[in-house]
Amino acid sequence: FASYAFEVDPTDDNGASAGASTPPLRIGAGGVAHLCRDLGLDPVDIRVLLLAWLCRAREMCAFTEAELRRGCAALRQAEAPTADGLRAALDARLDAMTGGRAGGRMSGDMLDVKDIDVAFKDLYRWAFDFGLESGQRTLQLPMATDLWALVFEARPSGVPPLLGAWLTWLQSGASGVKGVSRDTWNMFLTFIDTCGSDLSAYDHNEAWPSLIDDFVEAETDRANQNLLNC
Amino acid sequence: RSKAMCTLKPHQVDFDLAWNKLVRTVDRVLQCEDVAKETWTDTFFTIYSLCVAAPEPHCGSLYTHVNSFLQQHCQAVLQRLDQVPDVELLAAYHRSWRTYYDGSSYLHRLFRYLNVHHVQKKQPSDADLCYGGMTRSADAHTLEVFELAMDIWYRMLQQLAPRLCPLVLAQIELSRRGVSIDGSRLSSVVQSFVDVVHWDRKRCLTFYTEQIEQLLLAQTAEFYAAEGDALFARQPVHRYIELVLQLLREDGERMQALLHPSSVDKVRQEAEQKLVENFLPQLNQAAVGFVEQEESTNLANLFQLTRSLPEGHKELRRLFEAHICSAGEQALATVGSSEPAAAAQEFVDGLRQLHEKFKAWVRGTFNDDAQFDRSLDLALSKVVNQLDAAGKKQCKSPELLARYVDAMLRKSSKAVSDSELEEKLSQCIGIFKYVEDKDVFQRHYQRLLSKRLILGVSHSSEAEEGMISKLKSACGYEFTSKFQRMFHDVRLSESQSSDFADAHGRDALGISLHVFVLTQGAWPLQASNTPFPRLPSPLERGVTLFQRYYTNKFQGRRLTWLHAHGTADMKLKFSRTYSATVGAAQAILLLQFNDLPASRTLSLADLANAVGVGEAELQRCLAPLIDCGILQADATGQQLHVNQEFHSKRSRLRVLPAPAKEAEKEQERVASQIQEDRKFFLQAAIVRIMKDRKRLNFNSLTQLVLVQTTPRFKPEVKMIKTCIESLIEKEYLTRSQAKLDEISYNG
Repeated sequence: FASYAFEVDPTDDNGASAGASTPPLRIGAGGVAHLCRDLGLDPVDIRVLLLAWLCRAREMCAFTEAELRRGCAALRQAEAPTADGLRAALDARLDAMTGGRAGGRMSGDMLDVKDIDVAFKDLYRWAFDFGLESGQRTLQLPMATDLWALVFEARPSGVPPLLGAWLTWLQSGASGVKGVSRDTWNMFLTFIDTCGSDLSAYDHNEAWPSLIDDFVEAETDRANQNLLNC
Repeated sequence: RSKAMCTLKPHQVDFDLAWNKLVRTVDRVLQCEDVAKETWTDTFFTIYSLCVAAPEPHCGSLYTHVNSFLQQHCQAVLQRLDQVPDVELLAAYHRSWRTYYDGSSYLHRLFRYLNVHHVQKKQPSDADLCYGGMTRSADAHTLEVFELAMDIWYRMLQQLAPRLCPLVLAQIELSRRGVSIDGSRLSSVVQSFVDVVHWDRKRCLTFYTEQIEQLLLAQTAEFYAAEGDALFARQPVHRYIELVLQLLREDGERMQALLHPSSVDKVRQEAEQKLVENFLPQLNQAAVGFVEQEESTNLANLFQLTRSLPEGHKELRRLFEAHICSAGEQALATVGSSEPAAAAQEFVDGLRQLHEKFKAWVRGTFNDDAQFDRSLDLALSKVVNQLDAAGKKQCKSPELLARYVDAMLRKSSKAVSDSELEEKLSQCIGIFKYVEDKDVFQRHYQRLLSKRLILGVSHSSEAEEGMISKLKSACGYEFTSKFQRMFHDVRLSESQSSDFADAHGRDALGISLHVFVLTQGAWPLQASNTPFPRLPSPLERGVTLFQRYYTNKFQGRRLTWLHAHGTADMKLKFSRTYSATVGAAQAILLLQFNDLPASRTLSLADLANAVGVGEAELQRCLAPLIDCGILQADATGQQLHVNQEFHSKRSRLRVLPAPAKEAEKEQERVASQIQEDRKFFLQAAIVRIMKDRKRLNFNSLTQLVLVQTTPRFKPEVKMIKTCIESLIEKEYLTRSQAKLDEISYNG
């Protein structure tokens, strides 16, 4: 596998450096950092997340051979892609998702609006598993907020205005929770899609997870407070 | 006689001759003039012979002639009445009508043969009349003579009505203004409008309704609108209510006397609309004052007045509820600040008084109206459930109630008769039904019951059982199962202990040992973490023997000893012998002094060592012993000795240690335990429901859960939500992908 890994990405000996000793081999944390450097991307760039998603990576900071091959196939790259080729493909992919907002270029293979929505939903849901520590059911709060901040960069209709308030509220500790359940994670996207930028479409009697109920309550309180102060 | 027989045979009759002979009698009968008996019989026979005449019977012509005779008669009456001036018209009409009505019924009898042999044979069947759309008429010869007469008068009256009806209405208005009128005459005139079409079942009231009722309703509305405005302006509201009630009552009687019964309610409604409904906002405004000042007469009047209006009582009920709530708040305002036992007493007494007082309102003022009864229940349950303990989140009522019941069920110096106790406990159940947090009550009751049972201070086991069965009927088997278990345990222990004593010989131990064997989980007792001091040898031996006896008898059962809850009866020998009930730890303390010379003292440290308890615990046990004078401490408080001079009037003493001062902590523990229990209960309810329904909308699920939990407590929707979420997380449930609010069960 070590030699194969070489071939996959000849500019990088990450395969070897990651875990040459014990098969099956995979690209470890150092390898990923190396890969990112070669791609010219910050490891916390949305495009790295996209790559991981396309690879269907199960764990953070690690790729298995099969995963990387799957990712390359999804990006229509050759068996042995170059760093530049991979980078260009990722740029294009992000443009396709966001309609070119990020890079200002229109990509050749624009996806159908409906398809990108589906793709984003898939990315979003996958991100929960990606961030989940093995054996856990809930996503640790810091990880959840980081992922939320990152994943919405790829949202077809742009970063939702409510996201900032949501993250601030969560980080302030007012919610009293330490982890985010899968249900809450999934429902948050629905919440963002339904209630948009303002909370007028929100109905307290609907089946929103209680974390979202609490958030809306806090937000409404804050809004009322602001009104009073004016 | 033979002549009469002969005439019964059909024979030829000259119709004109016969009719001319008839018509004079007919005229006299119709005018109700005297007719000689022979003439009547004669005429009757003439009619008979005409009807059976040979070769052709003359029925048809006879009927036509009667018809035109009656028409001419009515025409003549009409012409005469047309000449009568308005003032006399009612009287004149009444006279003519009475005569005609009576005359017609005589005539009907005179023409009996014609009715039976001519008219009735032609009449269509009832079914045809009802469903076949057929009618009877003079032209078809299907009206009997009386009906014919009525129908002809009806046609005449149609022409007279435009003059007559306004006069009728004017009379009614006069009567409403207090002028006395000839009621029976008016009533008879009005009734004629019904009588003339009475034979036609389909439209018997139409004529009356069109000609009189409609006009009267309009007039009523106008009259009482003006009357109401005038009255309201002149009178204070409470007086207005009284007067209107009187007005309505009088008008009701008037209408009953004058009109057809079907109109009475309609007229009343019309009057009520103008007099009551139009003033409802003002009346309700006034009701605020009535309720606040508790003016029961005015309230009763207002209640009666608004009774028949749809939703007429709504506002009154609201005010009633609000009044009870504020009265309740006032009455119970001080409850929070007194110490627990007194607070419980105050709480229950306050509520009982409230209930008595306002129940009396419902009975007297509000005529035992079911809706007001419900308002009372609603308001009281609000009072009960909103009582908070000095700003603490948890409602204090369940605990107070449990404490009150405890005080009732304890042995006390006050002699309470069984029936009195029974009544008080029933009242408690009444209050208990208002309590929403029944599970909180359950916990407190359990705690207090366990104390009563273990310390043996129950008033009587009948009373205890009675209360449990009352709770059971109020809340179901599950609610009281632990109580019953506890009760059962104590009884069983009784027999076990004596069994044990028998097995080992009563005197073998030197002490009599009574062990409570209690089912774990049914009792609110926990083995304490701090190990209990070593038992003195006679006790230790007893305990070991009992353990052996018990495990032999019941294989596989494990005993955990809770010595801290035990008590000991000791004989104390001073100048005389006392028997004292003390806590287990106290018993050990006292035994330390047993073999010492009288003057020896023991230091606190010695005692703590010997008994093996902490200082705080030691103090708690010693304090009552010192307080009652059995032990004495020296000036430093460090050295203790037995008070040889001990003296008490009573030979039986109870010197139990004061309950641990963990009350605050205990409360918190109870509260958090209740929260935990509720979560389990909710989750169980959710799973039960989902297992049954498989798929459910979020809101219906919430509703179903509420239905299941309300008998125990009233959960917030948020709590239900949290429980659903945790079940989703545990993958018992799944949220539907397509529909946000649909939840399905992962069976």
